[in-house]
Amino acid sequence: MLNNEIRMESLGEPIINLNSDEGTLTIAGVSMMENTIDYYQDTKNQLADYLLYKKSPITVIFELTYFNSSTAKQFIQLLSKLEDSEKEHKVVWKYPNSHSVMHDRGRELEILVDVPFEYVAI
Amino acid sequence: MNLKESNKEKIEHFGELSKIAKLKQHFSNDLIILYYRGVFSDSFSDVLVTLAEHESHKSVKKKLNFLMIEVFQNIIRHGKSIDQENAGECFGVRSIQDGLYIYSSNNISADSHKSLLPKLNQVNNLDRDELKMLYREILEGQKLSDKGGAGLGLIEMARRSGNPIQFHFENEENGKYQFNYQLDLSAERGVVLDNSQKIDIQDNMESFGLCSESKVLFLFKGDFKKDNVRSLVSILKANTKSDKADVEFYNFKIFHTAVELIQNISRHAKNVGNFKEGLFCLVETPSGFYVCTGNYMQSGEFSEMENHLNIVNQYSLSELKNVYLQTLKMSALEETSSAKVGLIDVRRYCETQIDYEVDNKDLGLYLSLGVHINVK
Repeated sequence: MLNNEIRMESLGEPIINLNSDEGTLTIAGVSMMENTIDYYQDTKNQLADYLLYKKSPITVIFELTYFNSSTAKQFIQLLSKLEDSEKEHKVVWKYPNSHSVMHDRGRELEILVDVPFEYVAI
Repeated sequence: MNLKESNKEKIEHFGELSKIAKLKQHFSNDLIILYYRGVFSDSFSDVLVTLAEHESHKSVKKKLNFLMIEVFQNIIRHGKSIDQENAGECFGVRSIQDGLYIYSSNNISADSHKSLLPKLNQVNNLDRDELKMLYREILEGQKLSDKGGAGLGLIEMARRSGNPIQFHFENEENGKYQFNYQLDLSAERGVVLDNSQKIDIQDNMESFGLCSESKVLFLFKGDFKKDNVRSLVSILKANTKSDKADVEFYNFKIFHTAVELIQNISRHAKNVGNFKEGLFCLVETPSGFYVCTGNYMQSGEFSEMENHLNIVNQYSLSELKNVYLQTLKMSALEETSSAKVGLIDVRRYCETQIDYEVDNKDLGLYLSLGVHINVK
């Protein structure tokens, strides 16, 4: 279960996992690093490789309790990679139940990218 | 909110920024200043130790860490329980030129005063070897008191700091005493501070009294080169708790404001000497909290920042969401970390103007930012 609390012991860096077999990219936890560009570079490269070599669509799953503005930019760049593909990629935006801000912040990202979002309150 | 109300709010909170400017001036010679008057809990001693770290006193790092934790834990041990009203406890650390100064103030009973006074006088009249001997005698022959000390803590503080413990008791009307004490130590290992290098405890009582009068809960001036965000926001979180119905939104608003303002310092602050000097301050206000930051600007960045602040402040609250989306989309085309929406986010979630003030100082332009977070 996703905890409402912004947990400081998570070091402010999310857990990221790309599972090529299942076709999922999961970004979970808190993302509040200052230098997000370096942190997300590997993920962007891995996603680009996946899109190049895999024929199946990918589901990007967000399970976050907080992300800063710098991270929002990285998410736009990451999700933009899915826009030009003809495959049916999608985003699953999991947010803490009753945490309307995290739900709204997902909605705002959805406006900026041409990828379908599904919302799951946890 | 109509224009008149908006202007009134701006003026009211702009006063907070001016108050903090006076504190900045007061502590302008400090390399590091930490002042804390919030919730005292064990989890913060490590946080404060991390914030006080600096290259200039790395040779006495262990000693400083030990003494900071000892002094902080004394407040927890002998002070109020955390659910009580603040009873005048405060903790401070200053690094000025060759000296480090750890300060504490808390309310104690008349019995504690009676017990402490002779111990302090005894400890301050002993030399290094005599302190060591006394420490051993107590350790071997006397049980610890139920509050966890038998004078051992005081002896250890005097031994490790290498200086007498400065102290001052203030007799209060209710029969209790305000116990203020201070440890002085050299910023360099093996070097003894002479009297001319020490700050008198009365000076620190006055300095930290200014913070208290200004309703400051937490003040940190120091190095923002390293990632201090976690330490600072954890202090902020613990001291801004609310029982509001929409607590998630409220917590998010405070957390996000702090993260964005602090990272604004890390991103834009100019190096002063070998470190990135910045300031973070949390103030209580009648209707909530005021968060303030300050830093020297990198050359050539000020005009752009001022322009950005003026533009962000001009938008109405209803316009800010679209501004956020447009700016984020545009910034995503650039290969930099900054999304340029941090201050837009602060303004739209806090629903208030971002106050700013610029001072032309010897080291360049100094930018102060302040945001009020309404609780009511």
